[in-house]
Amino acid sequence: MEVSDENLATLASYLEKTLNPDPNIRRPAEKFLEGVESNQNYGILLLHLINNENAQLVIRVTASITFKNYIKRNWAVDEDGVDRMHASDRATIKSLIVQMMLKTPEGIQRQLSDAVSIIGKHDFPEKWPGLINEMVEKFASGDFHLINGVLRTAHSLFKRYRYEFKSQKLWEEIKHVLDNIAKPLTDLFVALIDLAKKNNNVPHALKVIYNSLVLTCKVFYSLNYQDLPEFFEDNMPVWMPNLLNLLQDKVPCLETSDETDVPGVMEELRTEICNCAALYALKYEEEFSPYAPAFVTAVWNVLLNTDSKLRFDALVSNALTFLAKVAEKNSYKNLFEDPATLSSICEKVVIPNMQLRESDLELFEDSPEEYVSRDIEGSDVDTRRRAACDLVRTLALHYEDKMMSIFGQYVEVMLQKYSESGGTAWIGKDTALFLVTSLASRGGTQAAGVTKASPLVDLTSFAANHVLPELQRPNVEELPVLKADAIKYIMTFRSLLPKELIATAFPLLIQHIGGRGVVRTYGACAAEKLIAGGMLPRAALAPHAPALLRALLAALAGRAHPAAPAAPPPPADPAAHDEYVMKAVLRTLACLREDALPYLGEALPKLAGMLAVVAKNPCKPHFNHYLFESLSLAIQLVVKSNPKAITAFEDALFPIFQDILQNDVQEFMPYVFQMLSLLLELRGAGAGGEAPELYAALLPCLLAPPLWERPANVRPLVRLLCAFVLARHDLVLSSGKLNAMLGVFQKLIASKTNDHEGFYLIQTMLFKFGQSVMQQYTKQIISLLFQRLSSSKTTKYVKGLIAFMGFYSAQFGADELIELVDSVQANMFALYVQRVLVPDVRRVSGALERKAAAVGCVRLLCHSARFRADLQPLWPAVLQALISLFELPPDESTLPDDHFIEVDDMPGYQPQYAQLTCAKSAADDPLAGIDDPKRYLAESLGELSRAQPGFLPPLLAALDEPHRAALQACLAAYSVHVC
Amino acid sequence: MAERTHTSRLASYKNAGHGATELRRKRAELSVTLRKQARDEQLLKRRAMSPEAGEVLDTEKLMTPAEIVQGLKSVDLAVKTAAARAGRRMLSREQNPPISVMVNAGVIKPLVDALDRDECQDLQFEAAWALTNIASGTHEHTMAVINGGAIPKLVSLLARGGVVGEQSAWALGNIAGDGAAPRDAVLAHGALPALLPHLTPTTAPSQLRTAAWTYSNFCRNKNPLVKFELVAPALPYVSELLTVADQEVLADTCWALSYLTDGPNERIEEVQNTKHLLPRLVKLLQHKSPAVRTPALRAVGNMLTGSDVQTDRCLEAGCLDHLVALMHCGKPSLVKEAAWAVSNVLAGTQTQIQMAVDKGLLQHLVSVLTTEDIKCQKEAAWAITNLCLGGTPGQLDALISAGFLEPYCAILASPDQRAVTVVLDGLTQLMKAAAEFGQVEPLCIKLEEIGALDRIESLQEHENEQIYKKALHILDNYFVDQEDRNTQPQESADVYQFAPTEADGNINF
Repeated sequence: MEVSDENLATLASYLEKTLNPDPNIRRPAEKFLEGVESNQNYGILLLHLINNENAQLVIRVTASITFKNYIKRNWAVDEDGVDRMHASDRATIKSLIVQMMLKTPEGIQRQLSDAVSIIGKHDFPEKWPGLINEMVEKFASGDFHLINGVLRTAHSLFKRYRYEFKSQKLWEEIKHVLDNIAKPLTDLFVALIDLAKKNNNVPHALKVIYNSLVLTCKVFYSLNYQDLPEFFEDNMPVWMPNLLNLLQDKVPCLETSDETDVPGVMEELRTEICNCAALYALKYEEEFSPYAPAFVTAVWNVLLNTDSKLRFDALVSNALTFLAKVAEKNSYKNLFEDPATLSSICEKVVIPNMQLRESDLELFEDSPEEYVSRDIEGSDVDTRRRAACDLVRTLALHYEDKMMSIFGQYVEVMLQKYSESGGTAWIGKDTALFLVTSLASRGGTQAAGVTKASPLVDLTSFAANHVLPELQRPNVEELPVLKADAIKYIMTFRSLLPKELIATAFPLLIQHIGGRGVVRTYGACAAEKLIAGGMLPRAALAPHAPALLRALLAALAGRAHPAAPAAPPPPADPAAHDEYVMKAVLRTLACLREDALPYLGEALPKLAGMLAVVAKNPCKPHFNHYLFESLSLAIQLVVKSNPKAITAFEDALFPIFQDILQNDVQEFMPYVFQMLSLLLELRGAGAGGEAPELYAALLPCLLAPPLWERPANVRPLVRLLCAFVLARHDLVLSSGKLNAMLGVFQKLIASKTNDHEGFYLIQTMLFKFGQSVMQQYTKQIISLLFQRLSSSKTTKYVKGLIAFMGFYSAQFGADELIELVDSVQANMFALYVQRVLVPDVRRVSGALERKAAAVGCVRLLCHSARFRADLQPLWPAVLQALISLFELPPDESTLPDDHFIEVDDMPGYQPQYAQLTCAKSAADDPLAGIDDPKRYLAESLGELSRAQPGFLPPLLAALDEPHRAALQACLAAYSVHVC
Repeated sequence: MAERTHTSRLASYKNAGHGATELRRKRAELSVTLRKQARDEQLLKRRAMSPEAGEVLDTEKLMTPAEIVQGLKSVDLAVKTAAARAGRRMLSREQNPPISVMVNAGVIKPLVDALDRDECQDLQFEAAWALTNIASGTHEHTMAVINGGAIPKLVSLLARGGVVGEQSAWALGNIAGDGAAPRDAVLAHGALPALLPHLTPTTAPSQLRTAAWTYSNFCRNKNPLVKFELVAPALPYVSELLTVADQEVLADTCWALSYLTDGPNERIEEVQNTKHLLPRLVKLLQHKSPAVRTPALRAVGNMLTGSDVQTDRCLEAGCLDHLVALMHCGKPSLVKEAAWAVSNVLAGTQTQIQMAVDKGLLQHLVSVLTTEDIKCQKEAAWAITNLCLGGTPGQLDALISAGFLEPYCAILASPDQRAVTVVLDGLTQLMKAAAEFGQVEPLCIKLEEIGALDRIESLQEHENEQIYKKALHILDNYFVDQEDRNTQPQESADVYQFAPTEADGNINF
């Protein structure tokens, strides 16, 4: 590929097509680009295009992303030494890219920067020898746009020092970098500060200079990460006081206007400095200790001088984190011990950052779901509240007594103000509740809430005096934030609060499910967690069931209050599909079991209706999942008490399922298949008589190839096919779909991912149809199984095969199996025993599989004529392997082919399969007649010994001592005597 | 590489109870350092200052380097000696001694020649001193002294003893301190037999100090290590020196031992088998001066990296009590070294681990984990990970009751990636052990309670591939959320009709 205008234009047009939403245009363009990737000059062409200021920016950015991915895929020479790039391309790219880093727009620079990181990882410094000097030279250029570009390149190159392991190679590289750049960087840093002073009235100059300072700090951080370099240790008197000044300096003309939420350069710089200070404080404690007090004060002042605006968020959170980390260290303890300090930390830093902000309130009102997910699920890792909370926890750990009394006073004051204000000072109470929660919590889990609390906080009386009263107000709509707080308090401390208090609170929670937005969600969530945690066992829940279910269903219908007249909910009302409410329904049903039957009559049509609605636009995966679970559970419960009811379910659900299948609603298919399996299995177990013809129409559709292409479908589809085989085998035979079903088996067995499903399917078919139907196929089946064994022998496959062979000989006879295998290829069974069964039987896992493997071995040992004749030499080895299977832990080592199972390279979005717990089938055991394989071995050996005295003793004598001892113990245990 | 270490460590776990020597970590220092040389390391070279420094006589003040060289070449012994003295004084100047200037002026040859002048001890003494200080300079300076032919002459002066002998020992010490090759050159000329008579407690104190330091430099430097047989004959002498009162002698003697034991187990064996040596060395772990404790601890620490038997000997000599004390001495470098030593005890047999447990060592490790700086924490974390890998269930229980989990997991947030992996390895092992006893669930709950689960989850986004894989492994295997378990995608093959190709007799597996 020449670097020509024509090629550039072609490239640009293909890149543009990759942005097209229509896959028919996009895909071929992507394919084309992939195809030309290995051509010489491809990367150069991309760089030229990126650099072309006349081209559209979106094309340039696309080109830069493509370029980065190209570098990612191709720059590294792989393990086998295959070099996918031309040497001259490599050289040209390296010479162009640094220049381009200096002047391209930011969106492009970010991509190039990633590319530089990748190239640097492989080439720097040996294969990119001039780079560092080239960069250092530019430091002295005085052109700050250039310098910023260089610093960015340096940052891309050096940032991996922050996460790579110490190694000779890495440290040699860092040493090389330090030798060349530590001093120039320090000089640049000093010069920048000097320049900033000289230009303190020239905003645009200052902006560039401060940008350079931000980058300088990033590079400084990377270079100091692995260890404290000698040069920087010697120059701490230069760096530390200057960083300290920069942290405190006010540059009015650079302070960002209050209108924006994005951090400005000053915020970025202070954030970076906090990072550097935290690194030194943690890693180089001793060296940093002289500077620590000043930094603590300065960070402190930064916090005092930032308000609640969003653009300060990152800075505040980093500053708080710095303080928390420093407070953890023994050597800095004295900095925090003074009660006056703790008191002002509480007043000036903690409380302001815990306070609910305007933006939080907006979220509370307008996007309750997002508010809940942040608050309940802790997706608030970098928020101020979280950072303030962490600081409180650290301090509480180290200065518990002092903390509690000082912070407690502030809580008192806020609560007092609230009660005096008659409710208007509610925001203070919100803060107080949050503060109490973070002070008291010492550890907890998702499943149980807080499980350890500070002994200095009386959770129960606080709940009685300040929490329950909020929920006892008659109007559930009043002061909603405090209602949410109160519910959350009960939810958080559910494992620690006394039973009576929970009992008082529960009806109040139900009431609030009738509230709106966050309050409703919290109410449902709290009820669900209390039931799940066993705080409300079935008997205690039952009296509340009518109110609870009514409230939940009303909430699902989008009605504000169950008592209010039913207005039809707006169809797009997001609150109507609240996953927490749905989960609470499921949890309630699961707890009540049969006690829920009286309410299901009302609930089921509503749930089914909801399914019909969400199927049109399945956007809330959790909600949908709990909905399917609830339906499955309801079916199980109802059909168990009234088998005839199954017809009603089928009538109600089939049309919806049909819609889902016809409209190819991919997200729901795995669920539908599971529910169909459940229904069919219930039919098979006798519910409502034989499955109706509705199912017959379904079968051919299930075998359609496109369905099987989707990974999420495979498992539930196999189960559904098996359900057909078990419940309506006549249907399978009469529809002529047997061959297609075997085709599915063949497809599954070829896949390393799905082979176990293939075994499950074929075993079910053999079991149910028996030899009369299957005999004509068995040779081909065995042939397929062994071909797969020879093409890729993975652990999972070997396990499946051994279990399958065990099943086959148990079901159809050992000698029949041997004959069958040998009919595919002469003497192959002996080979199988030697190379697979004996060495690998200990790998088999899973109770049923291990049993099948064991029974299979017993069959060979005791029921096979061949094993008493030509295959007798294998006899002791099989017995020995079987004893190992019984006595030794499973073999968990891997086989050579295992690492070829690469599963995460599926392109694009794939709906995923999620098992419905409530639609699970009880695993069928085809060998149910044998309950203890050890007993089976002992007794079979006993029979054999009686039938053929003298046969066993010499064979048993050939066993290793430990195996023989184990066998003797086994025989003795079942009083079997062998002669 | 690191992966391989990991597998070999896991492999050794399967042999738990038979000792797990692979777990022991030899002192692994890279040949490149970013930091300053630690203050508590021994000096490689030392310049000999003049006691009368600063009081330069008027007559000598005027001598230039050229004049000194001139004077050294004089046939008049008095002039020669005066010139040598002037040169020595110049080189003993406290600030910026003009070593390069003197070397360039050609001072080396006449100084080396002067070493032969047995008739004038003063001259020999001044020349040896001047050479000592030149050899204390850069590698080039030392090489100039070697190339000038000084080594054999210094060795023969050393053999004769007295002040000249002492000064010669110092010069040879500086030369040997320059690196492996100069060290071997010095030894090749028979320096050790010449030095041996000086290495006795009855030697005059200043001479003994020089001798002990010189001997330590004979043992020092890696790549390659010194030929053991060239320095081992001094071991019985070394054993005696461990009984003297002089701190400097003790310190340098211990440094020598620390170098000798920083190598293959055969060396540790010979050192340990030297009469009386081991108990005396172990006793020095409680010496009042940190200058002595530091090298003594290094030497004992090195021995603990040896075989199980060698570790046993240290334990029998009572090193555990001292290690406990050292872990609380408040000096980070000693705490770190002591924790490292303990980590190697815990990498040993289950009997050895039990001795440590019985001494209450686990509580002390936990306190290091909780309060010390990050380097000490990392060593303590290694120690605990080793216990997780090789301990019996009972020993793991002891660990858990020592309350290690919280501070141990806090290290997952540390800015040291190696420390993070060490903890992840330990946790993985602990999970495995828990699985065998059906204790996974309580352990998971505990981990969640102390915030470790959050940390492990955030490590899934770590830039370091090994770290995120290990984190993922723990989460996938022990923290799977039932509701969210996904099946995996499959490869695609377009065969749907059941039509297997007939086996052609080539099935092979």
